[in-house]
Amino acid sequence: MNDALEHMWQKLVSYQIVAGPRPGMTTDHSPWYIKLLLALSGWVAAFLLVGFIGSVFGFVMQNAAFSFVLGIAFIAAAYCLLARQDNEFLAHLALAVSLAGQALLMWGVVDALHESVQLCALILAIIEVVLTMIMPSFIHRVFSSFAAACAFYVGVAITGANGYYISAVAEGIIVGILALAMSWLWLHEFRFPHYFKALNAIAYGITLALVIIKMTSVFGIFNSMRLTDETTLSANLSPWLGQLLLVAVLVWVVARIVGRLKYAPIRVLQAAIVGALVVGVCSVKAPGIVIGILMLLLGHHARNTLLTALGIAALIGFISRYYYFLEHTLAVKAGILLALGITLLMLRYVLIRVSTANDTHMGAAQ
Amino acid sequence: MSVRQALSALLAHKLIPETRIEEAVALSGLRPSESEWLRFADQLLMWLGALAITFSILFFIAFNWSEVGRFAKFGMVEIALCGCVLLYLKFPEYALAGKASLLSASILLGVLLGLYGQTYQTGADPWQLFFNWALLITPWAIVARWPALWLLWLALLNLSAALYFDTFGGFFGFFVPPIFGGELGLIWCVFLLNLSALIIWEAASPHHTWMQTQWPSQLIAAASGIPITWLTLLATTKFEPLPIFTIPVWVAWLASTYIFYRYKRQNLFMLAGFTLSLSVVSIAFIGRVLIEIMEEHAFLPLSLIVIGVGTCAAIWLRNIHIAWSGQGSKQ
Repeated sequence: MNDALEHMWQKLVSYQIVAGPRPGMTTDHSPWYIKLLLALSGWVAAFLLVGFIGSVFGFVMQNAAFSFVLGIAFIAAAYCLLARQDNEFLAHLALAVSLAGQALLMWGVVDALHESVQLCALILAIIEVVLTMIMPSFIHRVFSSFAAACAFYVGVAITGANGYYISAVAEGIIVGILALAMSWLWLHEFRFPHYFKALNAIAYGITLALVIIKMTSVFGIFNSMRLTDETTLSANLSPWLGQLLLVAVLVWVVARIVGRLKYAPIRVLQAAIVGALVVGVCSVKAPGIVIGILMLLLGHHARNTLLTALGIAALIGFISRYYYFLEHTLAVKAGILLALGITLLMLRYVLIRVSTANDTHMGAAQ
Repeated sequence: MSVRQALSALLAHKLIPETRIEEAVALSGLRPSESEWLRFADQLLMWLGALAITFSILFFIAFNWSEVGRFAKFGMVEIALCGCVLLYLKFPEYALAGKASLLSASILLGVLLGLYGQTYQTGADPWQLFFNWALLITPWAIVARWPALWLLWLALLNLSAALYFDTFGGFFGFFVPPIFGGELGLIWCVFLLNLSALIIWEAASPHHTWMQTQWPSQLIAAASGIPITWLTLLATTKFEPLPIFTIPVWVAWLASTYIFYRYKRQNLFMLAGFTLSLSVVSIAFIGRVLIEIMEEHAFLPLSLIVIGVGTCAAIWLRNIHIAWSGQGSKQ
């Protein structure tokens, strides 16, 4: 484990970015499955804690003010425990207490404002944003930013004077905003080095929220709430607006990634942008695919195996969903897949030929 | 430790001057080079293209277009199948395109068997389709020496065993005691099949370099660990009769997993699975006892137990991780 660290240090020394022997460091690079184990135990403990409070102190849950105050007290206690960072047990207790506190807090808010789903959601979003900023725990920040993004979506997309409906236009805009935020965070994760870990946690939270939100629309969850009586303008605009925003984000991400390559000539940048536009336009009717591609590109760019794996899973999931629900016969679907497959293999062939020709040309020039 | 983790560690300890971080990132090799992007695009296009074409054939056959004669359908699938095999032979060994071709051929073989059963109405049971499919791709799996193909083979065997058990409620006509019947017997079947596969894989892997990546054995271990954990969970929390040896089998599985992956072949993922199984069953058992005694008051001590168990598991795993990496608590 030391080798990669030492090798990098020596490289930085050779370029005079740092000097001297590498200082001693404590590093915590537990594999993802250990972190998942911790997060799961925190979640389960939080549920049990809320269950205990609900069953034994029932009056708390029946009184909005009590619930709100107790929730804040729990969160404050969790902050004190997390700030210590010297005791593993307390750190995980803090996560469970904080989650229980947030549940109580929101119980109080919902109980007080139950007539307004939008207001409750926006208040929850603000609370979660504050928690993301102040809570000194990576897992907590992932959860809080995930909750903040989902609450923001509910608060803005839910509309309707006569009931609760999801506005497709608002949904499209929010998905675009979240995709932009996710992409910016992953592309600029080293912009604020002091907050590197925090920004990473927020990026993960927003990524997960984006996938979940897109899944609810793509897989038809809450379909009965989708607005069907919008005005003509928004009814025509809504299928396109969200996708246009996503395509714009995809083009921007591709341009930034290619722009960072040392030796990429301008025609490569142009080809990449055109390719991104083509992919984006082709996937207008297949929502979610652009999000999967974004995650895949950002994951590979950051050498983030987890993000890349999530991107692959999202891409396969959304592609499968698209073909399953496509309103055509299996023969037409087969034809589309065949055309797609041949196109992709031809693109690969062209890519190999161009890169081989480029290598030959550069070799001859040298 | 990966490049990303090393860079993150240096940043977290503020060892790189803020004004030179971009330069350090560029030097670290974190950002993929042009050739790495080309390789990435190459792999992505290859896999997506091959899978798209394979599934297009599958969809077309599933469409069951009556205007296309049976010989045309068979011809289509068989030509595609032969084409994939020829492509595999054409490409160099271990080439990406070769692997994609062989995977496509393996899937198309299943399509061919399905078409055969559908066309001639042989009356075969569903389990026979998957079993014969696994049988027929065995030579390819042996020749390819590719873990993914072996996992496909194992998945087909799992499916055929499950369907067989579902149809006959047992194996080879042997009497199945009631406690092994139904869903429980199926779970035992899946556990034993995947445990056998794991034992064979671990026994063979030291002698074959292509078997020495960890992810295939980890997947197989998960496929055997989940069923036995579920069975033990049922035994400790439900009042239905289960085989009396469920818990001893689970304990034996735990002990052998711990000893083998702690001392013989270091694998932290397997030990994480071991702790997860132990934690889940222990907490479920304790939870059942506490709820019987304390009813709703049990939630608080139970939440503390969950945190305690989770913490102990994480600390133990981290210490092993550090010890194995030779890092120590301070460098």
